[in-house]
Amino acid sequence: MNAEYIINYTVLSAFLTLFIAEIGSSFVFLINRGYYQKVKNFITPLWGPIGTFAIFYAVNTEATYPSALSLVGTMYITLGMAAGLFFILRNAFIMYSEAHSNKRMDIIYREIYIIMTLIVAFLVVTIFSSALSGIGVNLTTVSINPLVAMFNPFNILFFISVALIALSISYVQFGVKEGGKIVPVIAAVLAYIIVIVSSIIYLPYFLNSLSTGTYLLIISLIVAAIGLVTYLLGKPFSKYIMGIWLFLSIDMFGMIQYPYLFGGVAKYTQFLNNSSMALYVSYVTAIGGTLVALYLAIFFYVNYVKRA
Amino acid sequence: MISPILLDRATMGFSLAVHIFLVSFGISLPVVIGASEFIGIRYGDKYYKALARRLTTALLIFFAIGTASGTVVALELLLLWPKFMALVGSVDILPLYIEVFAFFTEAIFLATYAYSWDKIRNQYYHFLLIIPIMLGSIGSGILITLLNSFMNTPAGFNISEYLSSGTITGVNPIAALFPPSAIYEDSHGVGGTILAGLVMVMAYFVYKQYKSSGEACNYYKKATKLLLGISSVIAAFVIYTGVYSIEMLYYVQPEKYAAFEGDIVPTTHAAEMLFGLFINGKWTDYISIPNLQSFLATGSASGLVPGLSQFPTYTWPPLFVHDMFDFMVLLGFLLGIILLITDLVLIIGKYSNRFGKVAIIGRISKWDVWHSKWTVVFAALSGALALVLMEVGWVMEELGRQPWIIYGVMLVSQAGNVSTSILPIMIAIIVFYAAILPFTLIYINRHFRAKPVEAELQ
Repeated sequence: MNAEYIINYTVLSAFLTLFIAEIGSSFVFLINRGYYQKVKNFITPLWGPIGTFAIFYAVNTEATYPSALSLVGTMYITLGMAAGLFFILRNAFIMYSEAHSNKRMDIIYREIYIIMTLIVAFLVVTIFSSALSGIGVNLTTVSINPLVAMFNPFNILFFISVALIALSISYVQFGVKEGGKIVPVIAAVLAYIIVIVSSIIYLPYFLNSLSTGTYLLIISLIVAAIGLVTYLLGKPFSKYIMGIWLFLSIDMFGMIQYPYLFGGVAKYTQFLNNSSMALYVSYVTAIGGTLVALYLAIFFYVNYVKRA
Repeated sequence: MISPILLDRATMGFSLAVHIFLVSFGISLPVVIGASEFIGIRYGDKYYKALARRLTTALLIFFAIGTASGTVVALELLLLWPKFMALVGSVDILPLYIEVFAFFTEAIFLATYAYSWDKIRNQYYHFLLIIPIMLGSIGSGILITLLNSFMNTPAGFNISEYLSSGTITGVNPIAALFPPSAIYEDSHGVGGTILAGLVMVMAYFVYKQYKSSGEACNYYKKATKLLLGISSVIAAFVIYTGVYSIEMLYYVQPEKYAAFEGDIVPTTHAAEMLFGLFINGKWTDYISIPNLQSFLATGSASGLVPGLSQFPTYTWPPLFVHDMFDFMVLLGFLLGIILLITDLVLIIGKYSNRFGKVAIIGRISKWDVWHSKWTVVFAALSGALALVLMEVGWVMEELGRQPWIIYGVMLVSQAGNVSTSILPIMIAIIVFYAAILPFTLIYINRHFRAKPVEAELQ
C-alpha cells in the first residue's frame, strides 16, 4: 500500500474521529438538555482543533494528490463551498454561545450550532461517499449532480451509519442513560451492517477488497467488542477504547477500499505528487505530526485531566 | 453574460478582503495579550491582567470567525482556481502545508490558554502558553504570504519546460518555499497586518476611555498606552520594510516596479512622479520631483529605472496601480505622523515637570489629551487609515501582478474555474459575510457591555 495514501487517510481518520465525536455530543444535547454542562465541557476546547484537522486534511490532500485538484475543484465547487459556509456558521454560533452569559441565549445559539454542524456533516459525508461510489459524478464531463450525490441510497445509508456510530460513541462518552445501556451496542452493530451491506451493493470492488482485507475488519470488530463490553461492565476507560475504535474503524475502511475512487473508475495512485515534493511533505508530516501529538497531550492534560 | 473568471476574481477578492480584516485582529491580539499578561504578572497590575483576559475572549471570537473564513478561502483556492492549485500542489505546497501546523499550534494552545486561567497556579506558566499562540498566528501569516511571494516571483521548478510542454520537472520545494521576493514581501505584509489590527483595537480603546470614568477609564488608558507603544514600534518596522520593498521591487520585479512608479520607458535621472492621469499614452496632472526616483531606487540621481515598454503590452498591469501606490504611501505617511505626534504628546505629558519651562511643551502638557474630542477623532482616523492601508496595499499588490496569477507562468484566465455554478456561490458568500461580519462585531460589543470592566477588575 502506498505510504502517502496511508498518511493522507490517517489524517482523514483523525479528523473524522474528532468530528464524529462532536456530532455525537450534539445528539446527546438533543436527547436530553440535562447533559448540557457535560457536553459544553467536552466541546468548548475541542471545536477549534477539529476545524484545524479539517484544514489539515484538505491541505494534505492538495500536497498528496495535486493532479486531482483540477478535477475535485471543478466537480465539488457547490458542495464544497456550501460546506465551507455552514462551517463558518458552526464556528460563529458555538463561539456566540460560549461567550454569552445568558443561558437561554446560550442554548438557542447552541441549537443553531448543532443544526449547522449536522448540515456540514451531511455535506462532508456526501463528498466522501460520492468520491468513493462515483454516484452522481460524470468524470467524462468533469461534473457532478449535487442532488443525486446527496440523495442517493448509498449516501443516505452512509450518513445513517455515521450518525449511528456517533450515537454509540456519545452514549459511552457521556454515560447517557436514556434507552438503556444496550443503545450503543445496537447502534454500533447496525452501523457495521449498514456500511458493509451498502458498500457491497454500491461499491463494485468492495467485496473483493474485503476478502483480501478481512483481518482489517476483524481488528476493528475486536476493538469495538472490547469497547462495548467494558462499557457494559461500567469501566470508565471504555470511552477511550471507543475513541480508538472509531479511529481504527475509519482507517481500516480506507485500507479496505484502497486504491479505488469513483466506484472503481479511478485510482488514488494516478494522482500522486512528484517524488521530490512527496519527500518534503513526508518530512513536514513527521515533524509537524510529532509536534501536534505533543500539543494535544498538553491540551488534553490541561483541559480534561487537570483540575482547577 | 458575466465571464466566470471575473466571478472567480470577484468572489476571491471579496473573501480575501474580509478574511484579511479578521486576520488582522487574530494576528495582533496575541501580541497585546502576551504583553499585558506579562506586565500584569510582573508588576501585579490588575488592569493589565483584566486586559489580557478580556482580549482573550475577543481573540476567541475573531479566531472562530477568522478560522472559518480562512477555511472558505482555502476552499476557494481549490475550487475557484483548480489549475493554479494543481501547479502549486506539485511545486509550492510547503507554505500551505507548514501553515497547517502553525495553525494547529495557534488553535490548540489558544484552546488551552483561554480555558486554563484558573487551572494553572503559576501565572508565568500560563503566560508561556501565549507564546506559541503568537508564533502560530504570526507564522501562519508569514507562510501564507510566502505563497503570494511565489506567485510574484516563481521559483523551484523548470519554468521554461513547463511553458513549452506543460510538464512539471526539476521540482525543488525549498527554492519554491523561499522565492526571491520572500523576505521583503513577508516582512512588510505581515508587519502591516499586525499594525492594522493594533491600531484598530487602539482606536476602540481610545473611544471607550473617552466615554468611561473611574476604574474603567484607567483601564482603557492603560490599554491605549500599551497599544500605542507596541503600534509605534511596529509602525517603524513597517515603514522601514516598505522602503526596502520598493528598493527590492526594482531588482526583483521590475515590471511591477515600473507600473507602481508609472514609468512607461526606461529612464535615467528619473523624477518621482506623484499621482497623475494616464491619457492617450501620456501621464498628465502629476507632481514631479526631479531625480528623486532614480536616487531612491539606485542611490544615484542619474540611475536607470525600468519602464513598461521593456515588457509586452498584454502583460502590463492596469496603470491606476500607480495612483493607488501613491495614495498608499500618502496614507502611510499620515498614519505615521499621527502615531508620532500622539507618542510625543504623551511623553511630554509624562515628563512635563522636567520640560515645563519651555513654553510650547508647557502648553502641550496642560492639554488634557485623554478627554479631548480631537483625540477620539484622530484615533478613529488612525483606525480607518490602518484598515484602508492594509486592504489597499493588498489590492495594489495583486493588481500589480495582473494579468498573471503566477508571474510569467500562468495567466489568471488560464487558472480559473469556468463552471457556470459560480454566480450563486458568489452571491451566497457576499450575503453571508454581509450578515455575519456586522453581527459578530455587534455581538462582541454587546458581550463586553454585559460584562463591565469594573466587574472584571474585582
